[in-house]
Amino acid sequence: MDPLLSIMKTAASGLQSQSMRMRIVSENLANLESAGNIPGADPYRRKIVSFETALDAASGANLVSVSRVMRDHQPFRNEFRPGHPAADSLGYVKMPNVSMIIEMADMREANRSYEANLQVIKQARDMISMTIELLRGQ
Amino acid sequence: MYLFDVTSRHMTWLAERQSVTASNIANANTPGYRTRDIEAFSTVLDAGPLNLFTTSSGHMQLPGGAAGAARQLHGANWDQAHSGNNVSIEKELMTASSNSRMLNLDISLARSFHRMLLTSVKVS
Repeated sequence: MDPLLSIMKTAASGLQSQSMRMRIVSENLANLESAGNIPGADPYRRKIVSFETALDAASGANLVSVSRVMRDHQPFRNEFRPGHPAADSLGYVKMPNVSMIIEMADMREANRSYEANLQVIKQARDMISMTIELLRGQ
Repeated sequence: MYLFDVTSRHMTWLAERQSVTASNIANANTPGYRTRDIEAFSTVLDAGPLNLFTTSSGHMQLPGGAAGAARQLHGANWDQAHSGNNVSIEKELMTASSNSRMLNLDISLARSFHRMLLTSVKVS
């Protein structure tokens, strides 16, 4: 397989993995306040995404893929809300272990990696069209 | 016609290197991934194509040489994350743009050499 075409494949796998990461970040942010609705129920648990290298047999390139989506085992936040349906006998509600700052930082990093992969695709496209120009512009 | 051979091999090498760079960027967040690079072009050019070892007249050689095998980069890189990943996106993007620039140079060289050949054909 032509290396220039395998670049496209590799960068596309990077784009896919980073957008999956972005999806997980948005799920975490959307569930920032998702508490249970019966006393003592567990709220939403934060998700973490992990990547792994996947060898593409056709081109020999190292693609990337999402290995699995795991759960964060950090303890939940406790908030004092006596009126909440999920409040325990002392009036505390377990809130999700999602921190908005961490999710924002993760989002920026995913965004940056996505842009880098996009830049690689643009550059490979330029390289291909430059090579084609060699045939044309004499 | 040696120049055409050199430019063509350099372009193959650049494409291969760009592909390895793309792998590095795609794996910039993979735990345990180490930055890779390929052999320097001068090494590849001096070594010549890697030939297969033949023990019988029926064995065939592969056409063309290998453009340099990807290997892990030894020595210090710019970045080292806690997960064991040492890909620096900035460095990889610099490599990618320098590859692109060198490909442009190769193409200009090949074109001007081609024009030179054409001129000699026209005169005779």
